[in-house]
Amino acid sequence: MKLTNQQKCENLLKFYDDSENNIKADALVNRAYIDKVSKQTINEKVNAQMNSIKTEIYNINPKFKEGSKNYEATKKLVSETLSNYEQALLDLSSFYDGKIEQLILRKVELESSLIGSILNEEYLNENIEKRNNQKENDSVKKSVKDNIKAVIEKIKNRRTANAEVDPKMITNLLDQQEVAIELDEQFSNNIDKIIKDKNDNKDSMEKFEQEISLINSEIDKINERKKNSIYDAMEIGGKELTPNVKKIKIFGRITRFFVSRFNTAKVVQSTIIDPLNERIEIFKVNELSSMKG
Amino acid sequence: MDDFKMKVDESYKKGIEKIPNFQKVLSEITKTAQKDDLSLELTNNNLDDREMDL
Repeated sequence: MKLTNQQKCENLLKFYDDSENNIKADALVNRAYIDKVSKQTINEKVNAQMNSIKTEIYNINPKFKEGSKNYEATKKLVSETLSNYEQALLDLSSFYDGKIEQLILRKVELESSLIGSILNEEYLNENIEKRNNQKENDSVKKSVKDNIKAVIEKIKNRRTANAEVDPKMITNLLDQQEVAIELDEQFSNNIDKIIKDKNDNKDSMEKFEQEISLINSEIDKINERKKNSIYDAMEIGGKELTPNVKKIKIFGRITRFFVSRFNTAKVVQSTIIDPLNERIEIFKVNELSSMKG
Repeated sequence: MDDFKMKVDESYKKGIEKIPNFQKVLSEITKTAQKDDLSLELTNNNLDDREMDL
């Protein structure tokens, strides 16, 4: 069953409204997903760091208990350092997320242009169809013009034969003929313009689609780069997540007898917390600063 | 997220505005959807009317 113009336009409007909602919702979901990836990766990294700190504390003093009052000072220190550590990672992820956000917004812009172009194409198709239908009537128009021409000729002949002819009639007919010619030219120019607009519109749609595809792949790449960058940040040596803070070999050999003689909190600070804080500062000054330019 | 939602709205508007004559196209489609086939008849810059006059 062939759709009427009204039905076609109703469908187009529904498509336009649905597309607008989908494009905007998709952008919000994408942005939320990017945030989720950042949070998950950072949580994983911070938890790994926290576990490695705990492990090292127990390596220093196996009798050390988390519930103990003596642990409170260390606990505060660890908590502050981990917050600092987490903040550095958040700054890092913000750098990547900002880039991704710009790409998502550019994608929204391109997708809305694409939707506009799709509607424009339907509109131009409709106009071309109408023009083509109109063209089918050209034969009728041509015969009308021929008739006008014939009448003019007859009038001219009568005039030559000195018969009475109203000169206004001739002028009028000639004017009408000129209008007919002018309309023909306008019609021809108009349909050429519509076809040109349609081709331009098609080229634009292809460009929009290509750029959208590139943006999708770029978003995936940056998101992956962000994850790796978070995993690599403030790590020592290899590129994988450090399972433990650098092991302090000397304490591995300490016997239970000597352990009680150390002030565990001070040892934890000088051997675990201070080096970690130093790494955080170096990371902020070097990598983060250069990223932010 | 509200700030981002606003940016999304702006980007959408910016993209649509880049399409030449889009508001005219949308308006014609809306009219046709509401008033049957009458509106699209008006898209030919009165050319049809002038031809009819002939």
